[in-house]
Amino acid sequence: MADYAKPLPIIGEPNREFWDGCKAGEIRLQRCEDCGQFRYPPSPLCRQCLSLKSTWMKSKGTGTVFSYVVYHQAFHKGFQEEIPYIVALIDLEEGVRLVSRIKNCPIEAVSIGMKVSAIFEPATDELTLPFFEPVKD
Amino acid sequence: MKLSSGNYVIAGVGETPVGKLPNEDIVSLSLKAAKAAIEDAGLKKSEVDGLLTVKTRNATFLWSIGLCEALGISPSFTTDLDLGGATPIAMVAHAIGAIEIGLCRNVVCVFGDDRRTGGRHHGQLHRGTEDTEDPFGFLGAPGGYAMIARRHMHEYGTRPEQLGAVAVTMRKHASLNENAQMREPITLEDYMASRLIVDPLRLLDCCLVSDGAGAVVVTRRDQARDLAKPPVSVLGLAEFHPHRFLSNAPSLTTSGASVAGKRAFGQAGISPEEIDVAEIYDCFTIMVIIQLEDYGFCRKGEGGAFAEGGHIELGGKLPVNTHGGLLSQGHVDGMLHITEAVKQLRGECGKRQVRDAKLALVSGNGGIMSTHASLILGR
Repeated sequence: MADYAKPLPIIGEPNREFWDGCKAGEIRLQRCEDCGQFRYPPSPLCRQCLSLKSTWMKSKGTGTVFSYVVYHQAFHKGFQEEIPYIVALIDLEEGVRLVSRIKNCPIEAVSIGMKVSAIFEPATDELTLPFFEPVKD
Repeated sequence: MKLSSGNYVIAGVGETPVGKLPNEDIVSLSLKAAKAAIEDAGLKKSEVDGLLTVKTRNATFLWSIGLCEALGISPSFTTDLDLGGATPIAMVAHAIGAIEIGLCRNVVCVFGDDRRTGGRHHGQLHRGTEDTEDPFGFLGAPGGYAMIARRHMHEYGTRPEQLGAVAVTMRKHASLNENAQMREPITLEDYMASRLIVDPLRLLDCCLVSDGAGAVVVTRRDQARDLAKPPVSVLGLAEFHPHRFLSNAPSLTTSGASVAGKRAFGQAGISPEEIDVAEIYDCFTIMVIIQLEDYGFCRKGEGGAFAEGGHIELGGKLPVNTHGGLLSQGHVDGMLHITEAVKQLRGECGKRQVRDAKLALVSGNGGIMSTHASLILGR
């Protein structure tokens, strides 16, 4: 997978645990030890109560589509062969919203409010990306 | 001092051509706009003791000082600001604050960029989306605004034809502006036939990419002597910045204008109905619709119908972006929204002049609906 041609995150603090989780097949989120708020993106500070204390928790990995778009133009050459592709804002059940792709779903089938669950695709030997697919009934 | 006293004024404006300017760069464009604004105000260079600017992608370390040096100014107040498309208005705010506390007397606010033909050279600003958005292909501004448009459509039933009405109107206005990048009129059919970039946004929903610059001179009316042009007063000015990244936006359908606009109208002591002309930050068509609602020109959710009804055209209830805006005149981060408003209030706009314009609203929006600034000008 050395020829992976799309942008990759830089792994370090405070996001290392998030990406380690993806590699292990789970979404991990920081939870504030003082007020209970989940954090995303990873941060040293709780933006609700300014606490510096947090614990990493395993997310259920399920949520709903808050909004979505379909890319018909690649803004990076690595995505050229994937257009048209779906990007969505996903509301996880824990109360955080993140950007990800919707996969295993025809474009006509995606909708706001659709229930989705996380899937994990290795990009390189070191890094696995979290995507989402529709929850099967 | 209260803004509504009218003592803080924009005394001069400067613009360069916009579009593809391969023989220019951010330095030459910024300097030419600054020079034009200083001369328009009728000030001597020695009277300018403040300069504010923006460190755009190709700018370098100590950017504002570099521009000052090139202008032959040793300022008593200068810095770069960084609020995306809200920056030009924020510069006016910072200029007024600096003058008010006595740091300086006459401030040039200048924005220049060569993003169309300048390529990437020494300066390279990262966007901060590298870990959370880029790996998922969520790249470029159209994606973020498409996310917003989709949600507005979902909540309020906004239709592509309504976005198209904004695009068609901006082009119509640009056709009356000699300094516009795209002057060929378009129809709603042209809009609907334009290719999807990031569904639901089409090519004609997206602003232009331009080389160009604009500048204004901010000063105090009671200290301004021998100005060349009638000064335009800053009557209201407010900022509100709801988030940085879209995943933490409190709303995808309400912008910072909902807060900043109320404050600015409150300062000016006027209501939205009294505005004669509005220069609304139009990075994407959906943002005109959202801001028409958030500023109270129509009810929430009715921005699409307001635009479709012809109210934003010259001759309509609220002429919007009389210069053609970012969508058709050119993208100079909203600085030309301010210069256009000033020229409208000075009655200098020729074929696109709003008759007897006395009060203008200007808005600025940066990031992905992340930053917002509101400016009310009057004569």
